[in-house]
Amino acid sequence: MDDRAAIQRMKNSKINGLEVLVNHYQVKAVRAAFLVTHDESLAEDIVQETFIRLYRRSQHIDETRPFEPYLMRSVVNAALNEVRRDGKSVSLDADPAMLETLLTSDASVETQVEFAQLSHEILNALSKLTPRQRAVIVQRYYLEMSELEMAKDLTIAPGTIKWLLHAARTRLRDLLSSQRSDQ
Amino acid sequence: MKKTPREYLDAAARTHVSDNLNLYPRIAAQLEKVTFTGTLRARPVLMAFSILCALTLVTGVAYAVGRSIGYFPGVGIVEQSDGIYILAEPVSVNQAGIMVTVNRLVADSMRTYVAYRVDGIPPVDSGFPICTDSPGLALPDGSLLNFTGGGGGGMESYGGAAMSFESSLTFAPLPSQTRKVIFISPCQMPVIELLLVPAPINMVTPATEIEVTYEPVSSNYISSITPTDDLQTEISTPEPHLSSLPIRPTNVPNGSGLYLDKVIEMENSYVLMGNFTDAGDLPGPVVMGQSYDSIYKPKIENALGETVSFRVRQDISPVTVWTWFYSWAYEIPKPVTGPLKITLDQVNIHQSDTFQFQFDTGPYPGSGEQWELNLPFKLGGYDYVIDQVQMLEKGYLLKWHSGIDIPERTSFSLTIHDLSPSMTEASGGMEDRRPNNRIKYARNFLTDEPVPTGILTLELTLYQTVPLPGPWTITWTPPTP
Repeated sequence: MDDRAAIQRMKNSKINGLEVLVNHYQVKAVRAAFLVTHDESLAEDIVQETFIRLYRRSQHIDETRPFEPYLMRSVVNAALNEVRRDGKSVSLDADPAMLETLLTSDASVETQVEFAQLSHEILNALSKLTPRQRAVIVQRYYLEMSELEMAKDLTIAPGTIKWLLHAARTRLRDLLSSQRSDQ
Repeated sequence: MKKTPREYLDAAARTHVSDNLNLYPRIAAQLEKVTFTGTLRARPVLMAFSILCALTLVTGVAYAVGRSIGYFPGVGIVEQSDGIYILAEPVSVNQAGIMVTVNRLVADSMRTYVAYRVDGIPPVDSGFPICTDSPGLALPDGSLLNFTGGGGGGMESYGGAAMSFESSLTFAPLPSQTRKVIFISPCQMPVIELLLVPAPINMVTPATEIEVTYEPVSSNYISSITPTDDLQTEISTPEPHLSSLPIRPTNVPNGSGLYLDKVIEMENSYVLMGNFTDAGDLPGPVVMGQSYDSIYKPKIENALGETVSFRVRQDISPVTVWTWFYSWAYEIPKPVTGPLKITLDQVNIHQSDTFQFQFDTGPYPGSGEQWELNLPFKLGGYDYVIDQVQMLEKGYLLKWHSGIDIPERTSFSLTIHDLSPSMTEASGGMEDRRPNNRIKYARNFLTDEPVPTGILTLELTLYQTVPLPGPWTITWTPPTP
C-alpha cells in the first residue's frame, strides 16, 4: 500500500492506513526528533503524538501531495516545542560552526571506526546547540530541506536562515584556518 | 568514501534509535484512550482554568511566588528560605609558583556562586598563556555539580611579569545540609577543599519580589508572522528568557520587544528585570551585542514625562546575551512617580540582500579560463559591477567592484544555486579599498565534487548591519505605598 492509499484508508477511519505510515516513517521520524531533543523517550512520544494527531486530522491531509515532508516538518516542529517547553537544553557554548565542520568534513572516512567516532562527535556537537540551531541543522542536513522550505517552516524570513548558515560557515572558515596553522 | 551529512546524522541518531523500533502498538493503544481535549470538554471548571492561564500570558501579567529573597552584594538576588552559606575566608593553593585562590563562594537554594583567581601565570612570547580548562565543583561523594553560567574574566599583565586571571562561575545549588565542597582547580592544579559557614544576617539586604504587571507596546513589525495550520503553528513564536532561575521559557504574545519578567523592591529602589526578545518578526535578526556595554540601553520616563535615571545592575542579572534575546536589570531609585515608561528607540539588525545572475561557461571550460562580464547590479541599495568570473581547478573565482560609498563591516557569500549542501562555499575572500574611487572584491566557490559547468545561476549575498527604528515600550506601574 502506498502513502496515498494509506491516507485514503485513514480518511475512511481504517486504522491500518495509519499502521502503514507508522511502519514506513517511524524510524526516520524518531531519529529526527531525537537529533533535536537528545532524549530517546521524548522523541518517541513526540512521534507517537504526531501520528495520533495526523490520524485524527486525516480529513485535512491532501493525499496528492508528498506525505513525508509534511510528517517530518510536523515532527521537528513538535520536537522543538517540547525542548523549549522543558527549557533544559540551552547551552552556553553552542557552536554550530563546529558541527558544520564535522558535517562538511573534507576528509574521507576510511573505516567504520572513524565513521562511528565522527558520528559520536556530531552528536556531542549537536547537544551544544540551542534548540533552534539544532532544528536548522536537522532540517538542512538530515531532512535535506531547502533554505526556502526551512524559512517557511520556521516562519522566519529567508534572510534569517541564510544569515544563520552564513554565520556558521564564516566561523567554520576561521576554525579550519586556525586548525591548519596549529598543525 | 566520503559520507554525506545525512549519513553522519543518521549514524549518530542510530546509536540511540534502533532500526527495530515499533511504535504502532503504543499508538493504537493511545487512540483508544480518552483524550485530554475530551477531558476538557467534559469538565468546564478545568477548561475555565486553562482559559484563565492563557489570558494571563496574553496580558503580560505574572505573579510572584512568596519567596524570602534578598540582595547579596556581588552575587545578586539570593533566596534565603533554606539559608545562605558562604566561604568564611579565601582559600589558596600554590604549585610551581602558580597560585589558585577561591575568593568567594555563596550558596543559596537557587545556585552556588564561586569567584576565583589565578596568579603567577608565566608569561609567554605570544598567544594565550593559560590553559582553557574551567574549574569544577564537586560534592564530598565525588559527584560534580552542573555548571550553569559565568566564566570569562580578564587577564592582567605588567611589563612581561607573571600574569593573573580572575573569573566567577555559577553552579547548581548544593544539596541541603552540604557544608563542604571541592573546588577542582583548572590545569592540573591541586584541588581545594572549601568549608562553608552560614552567612551573617547583615550581609543580605532585604528585598521583596512584587507582582509584575505591565503594558507592552511593540512596534508594527508583528504582521510578518504567517499563520499556518494546526500541525505547524506551534513553532512560530520563540520564547523570551526569564531572568529567574531555573530558566523557564514562555510565549512572546506581543512579538519582538521588551518583556518585564520580575520586579524586586528594595529599601530605596526597585529593580526591574526583563529581556528584549527577537521573536523572528522583524526585517532581520537583531544584533544582540556581546556584553552589557554593547547591548541597548533604553530611556525611562516617569508619569510627568521626566527622564528617570537608572543604574544597570549587571550583578543582579548577569550578562546574558543569546541569539534571540538579551536580559537586563535596571535599578530605579525611590520615590517613583508612576507609571514608568521604558522605551527602546532603536536596535540594529542583520540584513541580507541577494543578487542572482546566470552565466554560461560553455560545454568544456578549462581551469584558468576567464570571462569578462561587466554586469552592473544593486545590493543593499548600493551599486556594484561584476567584473569577471574565472574557472579554478575546483570551482570558480568571482571578481566585482563598487564605488567607495560602501560602509565597512559588510560581508558576502557566493553560492551556485540549486546545488546540494555538500558543495562547499567559498573558502576565501578579499576586499581591496586602495584603488582609486573603487573597492575591489573577490570570492571563490570551491567544491570537492565535479565542478559544475554550462548555464549556472550564481548567487551573491550581501550581509550588513543596519539600524531599525522602534520604539519598543513597556509601561510599569509601581505599587501604591
